[in-house]
Amino acid sequence: MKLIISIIISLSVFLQLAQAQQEDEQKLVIPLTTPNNPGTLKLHLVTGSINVIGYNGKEVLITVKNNTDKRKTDTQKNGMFRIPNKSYNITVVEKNNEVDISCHAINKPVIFEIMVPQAFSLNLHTVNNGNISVENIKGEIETNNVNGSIYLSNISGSVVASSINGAIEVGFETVTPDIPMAFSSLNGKIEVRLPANIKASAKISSERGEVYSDFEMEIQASKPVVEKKASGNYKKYTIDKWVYANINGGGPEFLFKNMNGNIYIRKN
Amino acid sequence: MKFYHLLIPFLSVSTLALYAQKHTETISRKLTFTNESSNYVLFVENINGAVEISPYSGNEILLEANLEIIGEDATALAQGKKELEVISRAKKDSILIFISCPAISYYRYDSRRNYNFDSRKIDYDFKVDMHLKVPENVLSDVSTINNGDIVINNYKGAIKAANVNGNVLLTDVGEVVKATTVNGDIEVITSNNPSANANFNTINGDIKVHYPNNLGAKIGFKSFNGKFYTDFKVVERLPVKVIKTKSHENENIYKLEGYTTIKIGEGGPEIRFETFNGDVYVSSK
Repeated sequence: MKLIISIIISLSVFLQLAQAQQEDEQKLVIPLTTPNNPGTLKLHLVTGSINVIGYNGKEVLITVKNNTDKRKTDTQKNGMFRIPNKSYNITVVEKNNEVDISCHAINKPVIFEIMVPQAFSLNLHTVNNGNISVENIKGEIETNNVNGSIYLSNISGSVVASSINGAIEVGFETVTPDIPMAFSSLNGKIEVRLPANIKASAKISSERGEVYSDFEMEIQASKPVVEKKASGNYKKYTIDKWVYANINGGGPEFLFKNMNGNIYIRKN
Repeated sequence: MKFYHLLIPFLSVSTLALYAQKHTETISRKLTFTNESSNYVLFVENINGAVEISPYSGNEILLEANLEIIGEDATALAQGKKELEVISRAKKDSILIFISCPAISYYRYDSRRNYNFDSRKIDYDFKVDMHLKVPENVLSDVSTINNGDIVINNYKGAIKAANVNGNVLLTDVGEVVKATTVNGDIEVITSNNPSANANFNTINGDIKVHYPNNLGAKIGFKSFNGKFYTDFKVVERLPVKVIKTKSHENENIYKLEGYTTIKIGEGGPEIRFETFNGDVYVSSK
């Protein structure tokens, strides 16, 4: 009996929670000017996370969620109850399939969950309190996170990703040939999964971390670089810190740069 | 040497205070509308000093302005007495009251007002406190900028009140259409149920509004750092409206304005509150 009651209680709590979450969502449906053509999405956040998923639709579906205002403080004052403000000031501009989202909340973390047609290019930035994750996209992805991680999976196309304090994990299905890519972090690990037949010239450096790969890398001999200073007759000789390695005979430059984390270049 | 550098400004300030001369004056005027109308409007645009309004049963507006002019010396004071004017003009169904002196340039463009004050042009300071008695069939659109509050008591006509560095205090008033300030509080006590949409905005102050118990309204609020409190029973949280527009560059724009909107009582006009740093209190009397 007790068990049943406790189940009922927990169920009702769960339902209430689910309902509360529903209330806190704000949804936007953005139709595209030319629905059959690929589009681009731009979102530069300051506080919060971004989650983009490619789907078999023709519209961009934006869901904005909120995980703040869970504070139980200040719920009452002078006999009045506090009503939390969970709405965000958001503007979305769509022109010729270019969707530009701007969110004017910088002091409250926001969670953006966006569904886009699969053939979409993305430009996603955030700074604090959030990760960037992207799934199932065919296009060019440019992404930047300062204090969080970047997770990209099922990507066909090209990626430029950088973070400062978070990890970068990228999984490619296919790679657009002859397009250079870059993956750079400062304090997180970099893990990139590439198709086995990829042709690339990797330029790798990890100052305090290690570099691992299951590709057969053809390491190129690094030559000292001679710089001539503009003033005076001095010449500066430096030994390049970069490791140059060809994968499957070489191709466009793939840059992997890290400071305190490891770099993993994996075969799919 | 450094010491002298510090001393010089002090000395100059103290001499100013010593020799500053003050002139006070009270202006009383009776202003009448030139046309018969059902939409009388009173515009008061003060710049330095308070604006106070109380109800009046006559047909005209009674203005009492207390001028205070402080000159650096006798000639500056004389100049101030000559130049500073409280101008009142009746134009059809409107009456305008504003301050004129060479330092002020002003223009009004649609609903925007541009007030420019260039203190280099004058050698005196001034303050004008205005007290107006206004019939209650007049829309009072009153504003000030510095050194004073907007105070309206017992007046049941429609009100638009704007301040910048002061408070807006409306007690036992009728319909408030708009109340705004930047560095001050807004306090409103009304026993009327609102019949039209209204806006209350401040940047660095609180908003406190008392409505009657049987309030029926949609209340929207938005703030950067502030919180919202109410003792009314919230019937429901209304869904957020998406505003769709098209720019002249053929961009489709979709906007969520960021207002959380709640329904109180039967619903009704939309009352919007916005602050940046202050809290909002909506209470029943």
